[in-house]
Amino acid sequence: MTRHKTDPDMQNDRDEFTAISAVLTGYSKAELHATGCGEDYWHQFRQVTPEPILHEFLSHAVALEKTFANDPEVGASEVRRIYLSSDRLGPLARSLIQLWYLGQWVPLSQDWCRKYGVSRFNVSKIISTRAYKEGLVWDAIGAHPVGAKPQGYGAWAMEPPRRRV
Amino acid sequence: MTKDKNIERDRAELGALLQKALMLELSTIPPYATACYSIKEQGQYDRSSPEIVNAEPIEVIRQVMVEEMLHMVLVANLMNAIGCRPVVNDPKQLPSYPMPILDGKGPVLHLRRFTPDQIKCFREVERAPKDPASDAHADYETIGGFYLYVLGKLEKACADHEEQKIFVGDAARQIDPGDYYGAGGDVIAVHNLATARTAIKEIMDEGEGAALGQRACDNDLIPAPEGEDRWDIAHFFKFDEILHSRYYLPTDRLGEPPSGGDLVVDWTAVWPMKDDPNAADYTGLPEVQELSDRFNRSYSELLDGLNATFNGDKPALARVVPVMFSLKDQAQHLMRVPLTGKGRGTTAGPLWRYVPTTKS
Amino acid sequence: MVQPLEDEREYDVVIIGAGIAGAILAKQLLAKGRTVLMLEAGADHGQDWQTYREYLDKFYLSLAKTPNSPYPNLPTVPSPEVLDITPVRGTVPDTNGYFVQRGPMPFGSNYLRAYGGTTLHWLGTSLRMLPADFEMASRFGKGVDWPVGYTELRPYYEKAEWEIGVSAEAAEQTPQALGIRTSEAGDNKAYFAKEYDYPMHALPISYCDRYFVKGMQGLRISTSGQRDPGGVPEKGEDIVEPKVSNTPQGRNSIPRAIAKGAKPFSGHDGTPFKPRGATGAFAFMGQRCEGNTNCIPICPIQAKYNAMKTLADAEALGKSRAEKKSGGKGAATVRDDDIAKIFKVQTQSIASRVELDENNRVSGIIYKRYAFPGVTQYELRRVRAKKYVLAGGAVENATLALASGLCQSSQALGRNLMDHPYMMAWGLAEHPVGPFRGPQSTAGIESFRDGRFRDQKAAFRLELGNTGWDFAAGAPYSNVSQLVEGENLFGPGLRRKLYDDVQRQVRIGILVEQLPKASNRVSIDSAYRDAMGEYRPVISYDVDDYSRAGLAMAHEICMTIFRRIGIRNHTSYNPSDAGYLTYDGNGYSVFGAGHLVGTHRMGNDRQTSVTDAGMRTHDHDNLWMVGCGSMPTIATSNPTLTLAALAFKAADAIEKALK
Ligand SMILES: Cc1cc2nc3c(=O)[nH]c(=O)nc-3n(C[C@H](O)[C@H](O)[C@H](O)COP(=O)(O)OP(=O)(O)OC[C@H]3O[C@@H](n4cnc5c(N)ncnc54)[C@H](O)[C@@H]3O)c2cc1C
Ligand code: SF4
Repeated sequence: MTRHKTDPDMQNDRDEFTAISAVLTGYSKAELHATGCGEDYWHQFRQVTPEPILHEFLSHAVALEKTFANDPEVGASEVRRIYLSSDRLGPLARSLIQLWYLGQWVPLSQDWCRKYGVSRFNVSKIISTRAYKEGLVWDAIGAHPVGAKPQGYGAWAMEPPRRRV
Repeated sequence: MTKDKNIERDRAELGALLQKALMLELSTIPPYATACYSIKEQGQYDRSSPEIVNAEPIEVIRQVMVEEMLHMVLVANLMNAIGCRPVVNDPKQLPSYPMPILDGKGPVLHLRRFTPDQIKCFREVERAPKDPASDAHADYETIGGFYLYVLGKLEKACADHEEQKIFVGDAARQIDPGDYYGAGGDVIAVHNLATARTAIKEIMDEGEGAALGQRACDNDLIPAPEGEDRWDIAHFFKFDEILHSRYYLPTDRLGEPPSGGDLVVDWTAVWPMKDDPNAADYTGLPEVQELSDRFNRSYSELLDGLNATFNGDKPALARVVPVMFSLKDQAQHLMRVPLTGKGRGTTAGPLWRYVPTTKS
Repeated sequence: MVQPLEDEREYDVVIIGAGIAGAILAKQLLAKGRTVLMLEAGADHGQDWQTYREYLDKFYLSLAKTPNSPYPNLPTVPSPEVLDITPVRGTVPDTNGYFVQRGPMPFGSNYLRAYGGTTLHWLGTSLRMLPADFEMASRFGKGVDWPVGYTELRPYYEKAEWEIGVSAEAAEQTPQALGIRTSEAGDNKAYFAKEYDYPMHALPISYCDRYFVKGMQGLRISTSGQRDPGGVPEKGEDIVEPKVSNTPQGRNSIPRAIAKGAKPFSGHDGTPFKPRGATGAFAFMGQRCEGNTNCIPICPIQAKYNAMKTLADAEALGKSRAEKKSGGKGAATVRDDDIAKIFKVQTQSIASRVELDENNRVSGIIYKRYAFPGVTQYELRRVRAKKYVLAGGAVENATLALASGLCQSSQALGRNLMDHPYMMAWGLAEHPVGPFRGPQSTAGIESFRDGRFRDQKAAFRLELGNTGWDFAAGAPYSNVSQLVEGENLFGPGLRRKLYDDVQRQVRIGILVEQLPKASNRVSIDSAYRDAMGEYRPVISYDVDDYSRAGLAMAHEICMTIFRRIGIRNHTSYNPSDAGYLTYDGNGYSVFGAGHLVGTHRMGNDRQTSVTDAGMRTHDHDNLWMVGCGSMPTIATSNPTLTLAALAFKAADAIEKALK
C-alpha cells in the first residue's frame, strides 16, 4: 500500500531523521523532541520524499553526528558537501530546516519534482497548530510565537534574552 | 515582662504555623502544574478529530493552581502583618515528591501526568471537612481544618494580648490589588484581625470548601453559590465531574454521581511522563539534563523572586511573571522528550528542584 | 418579487450591526428601559467559547496571517480582505475582492462582518481627538468643521474610555504632555476634566520604545517649510521636540483604585473598573494582557477589548430586566423568549432595504435571514420598530442607505470617504531591542498631530511597532527563508544570524490624516452584487497632495530619528506596490489603516451633511446613522474611541426622541 518499504515505526529511521535534523537546525535532539512535532514532521518528510532518496538522505546521519561532535568545522563542510550543494538532497535539506523553524512545509520546486518524483503532499501548509507554536524560529529570535505562549504582563519591557549559541 | 515574652512566643508559634501553610500551598502547585501541562493541547490537538477535548480539565486545574498562588500571597500577607518572615526558598523546607501532606493525615502528593489517580488525589486535597468546627484542632485532617486551627490560634492570641500588639508588621510589605491582579480572586492586604479573617476565609472558601459547612451531607444539593453558574461549584466537585466525564446539574445531590451533560475527557491525549521523575532518571542523557537544569534554574528564580517580593521588594513580583510563564513552556518541552533505557516508553518531566542561584 | 414575511414583534429600536457602535447603543438603550433588536449579518457567535477557539486555531493554521484570517469569510457575508488589494490600472475597476475598486488608488482597508464586528481584530489604540481637529475649516481653511466641539464631546469620551476599558494615565495624555505645539494655546486647557482619570493604569512601554525614548532625547524638528531637509534646525517657532509617549490602549492592565467618595466622571458609581471576560464560562477570558503579541488579528485571551464584551453586558441587562419583570428570583424562571422580548441579537440577518412611508419616515427594514452559514438561501423578512439605527460601519451603512434611496437632500451620502494612509519606515538598531514581544504597539510619537503647518500639509502620528518588520517585510518568516534559501545557512550559524537580524528590527508606522473629498466615495452599481444579491461597495479613492505632503514630511522625520539614534535604514518603497504613490519626485507606499470614516457625516447644514449632530438623518426623522461614517473629518487619532463617544451621544438623542 504505502509508497515506502520503510516500516513507519522503524525506530532506526526515525532516530536518523532526528539526528540529521539536529545537525541541520542547530538544536539538540532533545530540543527537537521537545517540540512534540517530530512525529508529524517525519511523516510529512516521508510522504514527499521518494524512497531511495529518503534512504540516501538518512544514511549520512550517524556519521555526520559524530563528525560534528569531534570537529564542528569539518562537520559543517561535510553538510555543505553532502547536502546543501547537492542538486538532489539540497532542496530537501532546506525544506526540512524550514519545516523545523516554521512548522510549515515549503514545497520542493517543480524542477526537483520532475527529476526525482512528485508527491501530492508537496504543498505549502502549516502542519498543525502545535507546529505553528513550536516553530524554532521563535526561540531563535528570542521571542515567542505570535498569538501563543505569551510571556506575561510586562515581559516586553524587560531586556531581551541573550543569544544562546 | 512575662506578658511580652508570651506575645513573642505566641507570635512565633503563629509564624511557624503560617510558614507551614505557605509550604503546604506551595507544595500543591507542582503537582497541579505538572498534570495540567501534561495534557497534550487544549483544543484541536489532533487535526483529524476537530472536537475540542480536555479543555475543561485544563481550565479547572489551571484555576485551582492560580488560586493556590493567590493563597500563597495571602499567607505571606498574614505573616508580614504579624511581623513574621515568610520563606519560600529554603531548600530544607521545600517539598520533594512523593510527599505526604498534613503530617501524613492527608493524601500523598505525586508529580504525575493527568491520570484518574492523580485527579482523585487532587479531589482528596480539596476535600472539605465534614464538620469544619470539629476539625479545627491540632490534628486536623483537612486543609480547611488546618486553617481553622490557625485562625483559632490567631483569635486567641488577639484575645490574650492586644490586637495591635499582634499586628505589628510593616504595612508597606503587604501585597495589594495594585501589585497582584488578574488571577484567582482578590488580594487582601492584612492589617488587623478583621482583614486576617477575611483573608483566611477567602483561602478556605475558594478551594478547600470548608464553607460548605453543614450543607455538606448526603442528599443535599451540590453546593454552589446562588445563581446558576456551574463553574463556581467547589473544586472538589469539579474534579468529580472530570472523573465522571459528566457535568453536575444544579439539582444534583451530594453522594450521587453527576447527571448533567457530557464533559469530554480524553485520558490518552497526555504525554506519557514518568511518575515522580528524579535526577537519576536523566543520568547518561546530557541533553535532557540540560533541559531539566534550565527548568530548575527558572523554578529557583521564581522562588527567589517570590521570596524577595514577600520580604519587602515588591517590584520583584513583576519580574517573576515572565519566569512563571516560561516554566509552563519548559515543562511541556521536557514532557515530550522520550527517555531511554529503564525509562523507555515514558518521557522526561520537570523535577521542580531548587538550585541556589548566584544572585540571591 | 417575493413578499417578505412580517416579524411579529415590534421593538422600540432596531439596530443594524453588532459591532462596537451597535453594542454601545444597545447597552445604553436597554439601560434606559427600551427594547432592542439587533440584526447582524455575520453568521458566527464568537461569544461562544468553542467558536472563539476555532477562530484561534484557524489563525494558527493560516499561511497568510491577515487581520481577517481567523474569521469566517462566507459567500453570504463577504468581508474585504487585504490580500485582494492590487493596483488599479486604467479605467477597468478591480473586482478581485469584495470591493469593486475604481481607483485611481486602491482602497486598502478592511473590516470584519461577524458578531462583534471589526473590534475582533482591531489593535486597540484609543486616542482622543484634539480640539483643533473639530475646527479644520476655521483654523486652517481645510475640510469642514464639526457640528460639535471637543468640550461638548469630552464627557462622552469619558464614558467611552470606561466602556472599552482604556489603560493610560491622564497626566501623560494632554496635548502638552504629548509634546504637541497646538495650533491654539487654549487647546491645552481642560483637555481632561479635573477629577478624571482612565479606568486602568498605563501598560508598560516596550524595551524597544525605551530605546527610542533614550535615543531621541533633545531631538528638535522643524515643521515649517514645504519639505524638511532632515537636518536639525537651530531655532524657530515651529520647532517641535518630539516625545515618545505611552499609547492609551483598549487592553487590560491593572484597574485604578478609586478614592472613597471620588467619581472619575459624572454618572459614575465610584467603583473601580472591573475587567470582564467576553466568552462566558471560561473565566480567564478577558484577564490582564499577557503579551501574546497578536492583538491584530486575534487576542487569544481577550485581554484586548472587543465589542462582544459590551454585547455581553447588554445581554446581561436584558436578562436581569426579564427576571425582574417575571417577579421571581433566579434565572430558572425566565424563559429565553421573555428575554428576547426585551433584547435580542439576531445573527445571520442581512439588512437589505430600508423602506420609507409617504412622510419620508422609515416604515420597516427588509432583511435576508439565511439558515446555514455560507449557503445563499434565505428567507426575506420585514421588521418594524419605533426608531431605526444603521450601525454597520462606514461602508456598509452607505451601501445600504444608497440601495434604499435614502438621504437625498445632500449629495454627501457615501462621499468623503477617508482613511489614514498608513506608511512604514523600518531599519536595524545597533543592538537587540526585543521585538515580537508585547502588544503590537505600546507607544507612539504624537507630537505632530497638530501645529500651524496644518494649513499646508497633513498632520500625522507615528506608531512605534513592537513586531519588527512583520508588516513591513514578513519577518520573521521571511528572514528564515532568506537565510536558508539565500544565504545557505544552517545549524548554529543560522540560529546566530536569525537572532542578530531579527532582534534589531525596528519599525515606525505613519498614520497621516486625509481631508474630506467628494470624489472619494462609496457608490453602488447594479452590475456588482454579492452572492446574496446585495450591492457590493464600489469605491473610488485617492490620496491628495495635502496628505502626500504630510507623508513626505513624516518620512523625513523618521529618517531624522533614524540618523539621530543610529538606526540603519532599510525602508524601501516599490513602484509595483498596490499603494505606491509619488510626491515631489519621491515614491512612497501606503496601506489602509482600517479606519473607514466620513461616508454619512454629521453637520448642521442639510445640504452638505447626512445627519445632525445627534446622528439623526436630516431627511428621515426616525432613522439614525452611527459610526465612523458620522465623522466629518478623520483627524490623526485612530477613530474608534471617537466613534464610541459618538455612539453614547447618539443613544442620548434616540432616548430623547423616544420620550
Ligand atoms: C486591522 C485593523 C486595526 C484597527 N485598529 C484600530 C485601532 O487600533 N484603533 C482604532 O481606533 N480603530 C482601529 N481600527 C478600526 C476599528 O476596528 C473600527 O473603527 C471599528 O471596529 C468600527 O466599529 P463599527 O461598530 O462601526 O463597525 P464594525 O465593527 O465594522 O461592525 C459593523 C457590524 O455590522 C454588521 N453589518 C454590516 N452591514 C450589515 C447589514 N447590512 N446587515 C446586518 N449587519 C450588518 C457587520 O457584520 C459588523 O458586525 C482597526 C481596524 C482594522 C481593520
Ligand atoms: S498583547 Fe496579546 S494578550 Fe495583550 S492584547 Fe495583544 S494579543 Fe491580547
